[in-house]
Amino acid sequence: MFLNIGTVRENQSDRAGDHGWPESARDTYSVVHAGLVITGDLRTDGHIEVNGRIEGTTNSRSILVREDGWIEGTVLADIAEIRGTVVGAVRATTVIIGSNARVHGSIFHNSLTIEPGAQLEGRRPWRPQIDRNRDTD
Amino acid sequence: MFSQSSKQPESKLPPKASQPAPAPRSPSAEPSIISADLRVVGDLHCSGDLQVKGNVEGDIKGRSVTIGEGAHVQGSVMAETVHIAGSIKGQIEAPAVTVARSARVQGDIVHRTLTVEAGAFLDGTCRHLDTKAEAGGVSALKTAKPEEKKTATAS
Repeated sequence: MFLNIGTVRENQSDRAGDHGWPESARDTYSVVHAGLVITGDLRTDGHIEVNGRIEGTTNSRSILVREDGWIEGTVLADIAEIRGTVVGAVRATTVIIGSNARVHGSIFHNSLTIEPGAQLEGRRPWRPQIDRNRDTD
Repeated sequence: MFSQSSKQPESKLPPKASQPAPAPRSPSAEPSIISADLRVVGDLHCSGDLQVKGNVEGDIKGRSVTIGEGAHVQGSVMAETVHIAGSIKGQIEAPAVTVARSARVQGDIVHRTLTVEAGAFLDGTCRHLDTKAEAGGVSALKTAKPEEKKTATAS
């Protein structure tokens, strides 16, 4: 019922290196592992998986912030699945907040799922349309 | 009546000290990947392995860094092992540097062991790490103009 990037992916493969994605999709699958700290902005039309730390804005089609992942900045995406920590706004058409997630900032969404246990601080306004290619207002 | 109400310090944001960045559990396990589609404007610090296939405008520091074919890096790369198959504009500093034939390097290479495959494009100076230390470090190197322009023909 719920769209769940993590679960779907894990069914396909448990290794991020191979992604379990078809060859054609690998060009668009980025992984920020534990130990990697990015200070700056990321932009892609593909997917970003975050186990490490990003200090900056991410703009992607989809993003998965895992339990150990940490983003300090705005998350822009079509689909955002947050299971780690986000300090900043989340703006996505579909937002999934996992049970261990911590979000300190507003969540702008079209469809929002919050699992029990998530720590949220900030507004959660509904927005009819999220356009990730438009700058935040 | 109104006794001094204890002022709660505003702590909306999680304190950085008590909530540090995720500790690298097993940095050697799997590399971080900047995919071909991804563009990073900023610096990357990696305690593990890093594969860059996309665009990076910024400096990269890591243990083992691979600049894949088709990747573009504008900035310096500092690591223990660097493999270049893509294009880079900036200084490379690593004990072990490998430059593949598909590589395009515009900048200085500071190395201990350097491998260049035939066909690689190199525009810049190559210096030994020890020489660099004598010459006064990175700053001295950065001010030096690249006087060599060559296309490597031998490894």
